Amino acid sequence: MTALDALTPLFSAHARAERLMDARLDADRGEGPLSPEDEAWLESHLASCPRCRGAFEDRSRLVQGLLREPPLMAPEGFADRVLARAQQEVTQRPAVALHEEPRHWGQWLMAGAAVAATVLFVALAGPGRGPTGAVEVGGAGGGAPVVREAADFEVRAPSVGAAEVRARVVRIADAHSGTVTAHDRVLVVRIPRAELVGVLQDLSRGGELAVTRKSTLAPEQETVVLEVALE
Amino acid sequence: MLRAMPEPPTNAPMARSALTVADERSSERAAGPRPAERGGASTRDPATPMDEKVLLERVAAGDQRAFQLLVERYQHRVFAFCARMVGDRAEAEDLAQDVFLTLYRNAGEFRGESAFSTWLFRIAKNQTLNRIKYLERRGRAAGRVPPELAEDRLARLTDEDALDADERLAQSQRAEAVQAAISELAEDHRAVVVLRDMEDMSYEEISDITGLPLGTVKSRIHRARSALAKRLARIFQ
Repeated sequence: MTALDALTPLFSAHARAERLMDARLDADRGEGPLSPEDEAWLESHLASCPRCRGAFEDRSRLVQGLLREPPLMAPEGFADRVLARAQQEVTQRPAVALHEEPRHWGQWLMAGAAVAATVLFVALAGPGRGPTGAVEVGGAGGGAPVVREAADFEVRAPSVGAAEVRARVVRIADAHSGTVTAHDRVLVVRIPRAELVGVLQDLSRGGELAVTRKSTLAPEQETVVLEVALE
Repeated sequence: MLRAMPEPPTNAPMARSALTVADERSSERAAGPRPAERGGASTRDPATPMDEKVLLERVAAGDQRAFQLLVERYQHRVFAFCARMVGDRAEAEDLAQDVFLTLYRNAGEFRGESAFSTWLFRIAKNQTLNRIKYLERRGRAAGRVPPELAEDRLARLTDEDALDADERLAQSQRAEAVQAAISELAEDHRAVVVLRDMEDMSYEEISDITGLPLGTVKSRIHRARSALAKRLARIFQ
């Protein structure tokens, strides 16, 4: 028998004890008791193993200590601020001419079948800029679009069809009180800065769109512009 | 397809028999450290899920009052989870607000296949992890607990108990040490141990929230506890 062979049962016993410690600690918190065999084995092991007994005691004190930690409470007025933001969303949501949408979608779907989406650029515009003229977009005749401001985020959709990207971006923009303007091969989407996190989360949901941050946001920036470049 | 938000009903009385507004308010005032002590927020309360499904249906229909009740019911738990995860009070408030707004926008998508609290914490977990990545890219990784957290706790203890100054200081220092140790965990380990050992959720609930198999949840909690036990052994002696 090698030294390793002699030590293996000991390591296995410690490992088994560690596994059972949590089960033992959780047994009193609605996770069900240990089996009688495991309970007896753990008790026996802890009685004979100072290392594991110490670890079990540390663990037990930890769990009890965490559970006894005083709670963190939401700041005063938190609920009112949430409600105000929700109300603001309702009142600021742009009136949408739903009956006009099928025409746009029809055009997009027809044109989009052979189009592959490559890159979404997310750029931030400063306060007070016009709805569509803030970012000058080139590249309408083909090739990569020219973004004349540094992009703060880049969103890649390498394998998603253009029609699908368009539909997805419009849905997300609408859900965040945004506006969408279609250019030749570019969709310009403007979104309130307060919606940025939600927009990025929605874009990345599902995993097919990867968001990359390009720069730090300036405090005074209020509007996010998404540029969706298609080729 | 663009979706217009329904106008909030201006005349939408709520069924008091189902929602028990007065009870909600009184339970909110009594909000305490654990879900079971925070009024209707316990996921193990058999009367809660049905009420919350009704509330969500009303939120989806544009009922601001129903939204208010849900926010008031869960604000402390969601905020606490966010604060534990990001370790920054201002960031946690912003994040928790976003969580509730996501709930507001997507109330109609709740199918009742899991408890409402599970669904809500799933939103909170996803948004929190995204925010942490976002902050890390800006060089603002979650770290030490900010003083405000400890000060907030200190003020509350001052109100609630006649603790002497030494005891209050010890509690504040312990709270800071606990948060610092939590912040040192990897995000996925942090989330599960906060849900289990600070929010007192079951393994099954955590599995639902994280989308992880039960065995993975258990192993992550095991590793997180091991790391915390080493870091906090002196604190919890």
